Amino acid sequence: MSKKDLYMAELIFNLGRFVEQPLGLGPEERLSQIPENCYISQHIKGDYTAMTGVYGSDDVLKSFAEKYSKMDLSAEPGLMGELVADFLNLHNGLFIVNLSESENIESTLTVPSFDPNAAPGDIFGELYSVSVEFPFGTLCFLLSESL
Amino acid sequence: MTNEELKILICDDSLLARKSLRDALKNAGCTEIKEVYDGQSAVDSYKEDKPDIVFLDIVMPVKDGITAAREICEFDENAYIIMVSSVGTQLHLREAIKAGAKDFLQKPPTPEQVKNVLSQVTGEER
Repeated sequence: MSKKDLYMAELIFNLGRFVEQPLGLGPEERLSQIPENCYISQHIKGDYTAMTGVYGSDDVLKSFAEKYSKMDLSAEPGLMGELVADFLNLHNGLFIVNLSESENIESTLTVPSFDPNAAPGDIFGELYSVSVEFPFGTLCFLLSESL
Repeated sequence: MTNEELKILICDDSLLARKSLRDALKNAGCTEIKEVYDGQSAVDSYKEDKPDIVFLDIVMPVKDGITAAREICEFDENAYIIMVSSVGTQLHLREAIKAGAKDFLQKPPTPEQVKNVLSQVTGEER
């Protein structure tokens, strides 16, 4: 299994474990650049290097953040990006632990970014997007790995 | 020493991680809990308050948790530091122990794991 496929397989597992079981996955799409509305991202660096991200409508991101955190964000909508980034960090962390244990590949993570005004991070190679359908809407997850 | 008497420092840039740890500590009877958000604040706060236990994340802004652990242990070789991180790779484990951490918990830690840490410090049977 390629690292990309491993990343996506673990993503689905972690979504089910920590957020909600996805209803389905869309086809993998190759993008030429990071979508403008993708401001939640994190880089994996080390023996395995990649850019990861997540994007979607604010309504779906808010529902995702509420499911993940078990918090009501009605009074604190500003926490939405931080909480989604928290999930991305958790998933990426578990992914690199798995890489370390199963393949002796050592990587670390950068601090996740969730500032809508920040410039998008660097991409390293081909940029893939996978849409994940939940009962509350669809989110897209990005991966661009250095090969 | 009881859990209620413990001075605890949580250092994590993740709001959710801090909340989850704080809830677990409060449920275990801890009352004196301070929270900071980056490694430099953890070092500064440790020097000021000398907490009994420090829960320290690794990937953080300003100063990472491994560097913060090293600096805290240079200040106090008896510091009781538990790394709590999503990046629990063998390399990070080795670095954390080398920096002076007593243990490493993979995120998200369970309330049981948190209670185990507390009992190791208080010496109380669980």
